[in-house]
Amino acid sequence: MKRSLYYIFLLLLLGCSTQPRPHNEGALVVTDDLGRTVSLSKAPLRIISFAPSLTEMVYALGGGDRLTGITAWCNWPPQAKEKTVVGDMMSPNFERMVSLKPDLALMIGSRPSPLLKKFEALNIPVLCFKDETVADIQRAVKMLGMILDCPSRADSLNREMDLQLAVIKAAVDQVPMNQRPKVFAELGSSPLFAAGDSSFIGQMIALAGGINVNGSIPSSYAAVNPELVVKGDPDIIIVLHPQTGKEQIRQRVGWQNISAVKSGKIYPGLDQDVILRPGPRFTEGLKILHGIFYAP
Amino acid sequence: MRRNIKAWYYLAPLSLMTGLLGLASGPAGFGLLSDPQVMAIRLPRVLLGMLAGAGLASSGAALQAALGNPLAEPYLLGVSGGAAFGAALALLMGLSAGLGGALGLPLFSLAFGLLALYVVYSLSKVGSRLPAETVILSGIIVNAFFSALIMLLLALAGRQLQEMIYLLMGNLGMIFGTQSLYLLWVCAAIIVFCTGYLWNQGRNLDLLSLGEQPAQSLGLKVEKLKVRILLASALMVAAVVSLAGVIGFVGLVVPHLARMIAGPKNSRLLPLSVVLGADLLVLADALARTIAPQEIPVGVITSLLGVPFFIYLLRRKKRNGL
Repeated sequence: MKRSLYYIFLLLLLGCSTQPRPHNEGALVVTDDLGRTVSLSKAPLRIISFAPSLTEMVYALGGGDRLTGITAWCNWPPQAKEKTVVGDMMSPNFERMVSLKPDLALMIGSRPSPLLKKFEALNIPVLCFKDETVADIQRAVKMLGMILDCPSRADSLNREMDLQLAVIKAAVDQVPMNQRPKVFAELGSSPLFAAGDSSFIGQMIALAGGINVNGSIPSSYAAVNPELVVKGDPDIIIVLHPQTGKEQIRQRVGWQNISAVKSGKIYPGLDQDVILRPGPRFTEGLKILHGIFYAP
Repeated sequence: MRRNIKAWYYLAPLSLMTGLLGLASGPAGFGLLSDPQVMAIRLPRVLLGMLAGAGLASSGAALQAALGNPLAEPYLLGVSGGAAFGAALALLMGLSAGLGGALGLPLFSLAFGLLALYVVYSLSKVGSRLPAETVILSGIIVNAFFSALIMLLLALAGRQLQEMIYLLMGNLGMIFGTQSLYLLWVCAAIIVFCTGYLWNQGRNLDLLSLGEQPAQSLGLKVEKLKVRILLASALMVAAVVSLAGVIGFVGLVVPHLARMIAGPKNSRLLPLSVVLGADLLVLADALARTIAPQEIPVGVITSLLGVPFFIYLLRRKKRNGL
């Protein structure tokens, strides 16, 4: 209570209007992935995005000019770099944000975050999206299409994704399980970070026709002992962080007998943004992975 | 006297078993000869565990004697804070990756560890004396300063955040990667040399525990000894931090465990601390590797296991009126 009073006071100081907006003309009531019901008074024109994947979606739907604030990680499409950076989920810059007078904030997450609570206290409408599966991506696109008032564009974007998915799936389905390559996806070298099947990259590996050697990790991402990679004996190693090169992996103690090291199928320097980001470009990432897994 | 001999009689095979257990257990399965590649990964880790445990425990024992304070430990001197800051700075600057980068982190760690010691030394020096209380106080202050700097680095870190956090939690898995293997030998040399020196000073430390004045009148150069003990401890701690991060608990509690077994005589206490420290850390890391597929920081295990055990020993000691 005290806190919300404080924010109202802040808003008054900044000269913002705290008068309730009219809830009639073209009011839009939506339910986000947390099950929260949010009513937007009109099609929002000043949007803040707290995730690169959401920024990409807004641009893909042609709503880029409605974005006023983004995170420092939002690097696609290139023109996004001209927008104001308002920090990220971990360190939001509220002062800068309030000065942008947003009428909608977009963020990701599967449970309420402190940031979400602050937006609610500031009376800025906020929508929270899950970003764990392909279905999450398509649902977010659909929802944003509704909010940005371009549902047909969202539908065609989703149809395009389905089409690309179907092409890869058709190719992958022809390969029996025991002939698919075993893949180790390295997300960090010190400590060695791997992804479980429940992570987005874990799903990407499966969709692209690979088998994740660290699939049994209970959490999405975890620091793992290098022994597990030796035991899993991957046919392919993909490096999804900038610290490690091919030569460094070759020289690691105990890794000489791993199939991927012996055959040289180590892939550093991949475009992490299209492979790891649950956004509209994920099919591009799938194509890259599929190309690597089934390279002649 | 006889009790001590009996302790060694049990400890030698126990240590051997601990080492073997450390080598035999891991996420890739249990067994000594299972796979030479797996062994190649485990062996450096077990060696590092032994070295780190031995170094931390012996420097703890020596510091407790030299400063006459049962709460003295290697991390109290500010050296760990300095070394951890150096290592984190090297990570932030990207010195841990790339060419010759493997050297950057330990060098930074060592340099800042020694810098911290130098600051503590100059802060606590009163004339030509080095009073124990001021050493401990300046150690705490310097540690606090470096903790603040570390937090600043954590706030500035982007991609390196993960690495930094694992460094601060203490992790023997950092040894993985061929570039740092030769560093293991450098670390081993530092720890063997410094531990040997401390052991060699066991009798002098006993004298010092009589009190500074009596020791001085018996011809001991007290301040010189203290400085050397501090330097040897700092070198070992910096070496450990550079390879395994900040592993708490061992340096503080293992010397007390050893004292319960071997009594207060430093010439016996120091080698026993070395053995117990090495065993404890290897055992804790074996457990950390086995209980989950994820890497669990070994510092968590040492504290979780060691604290209840230590409380049990303390209570038993009180009951028996030992």
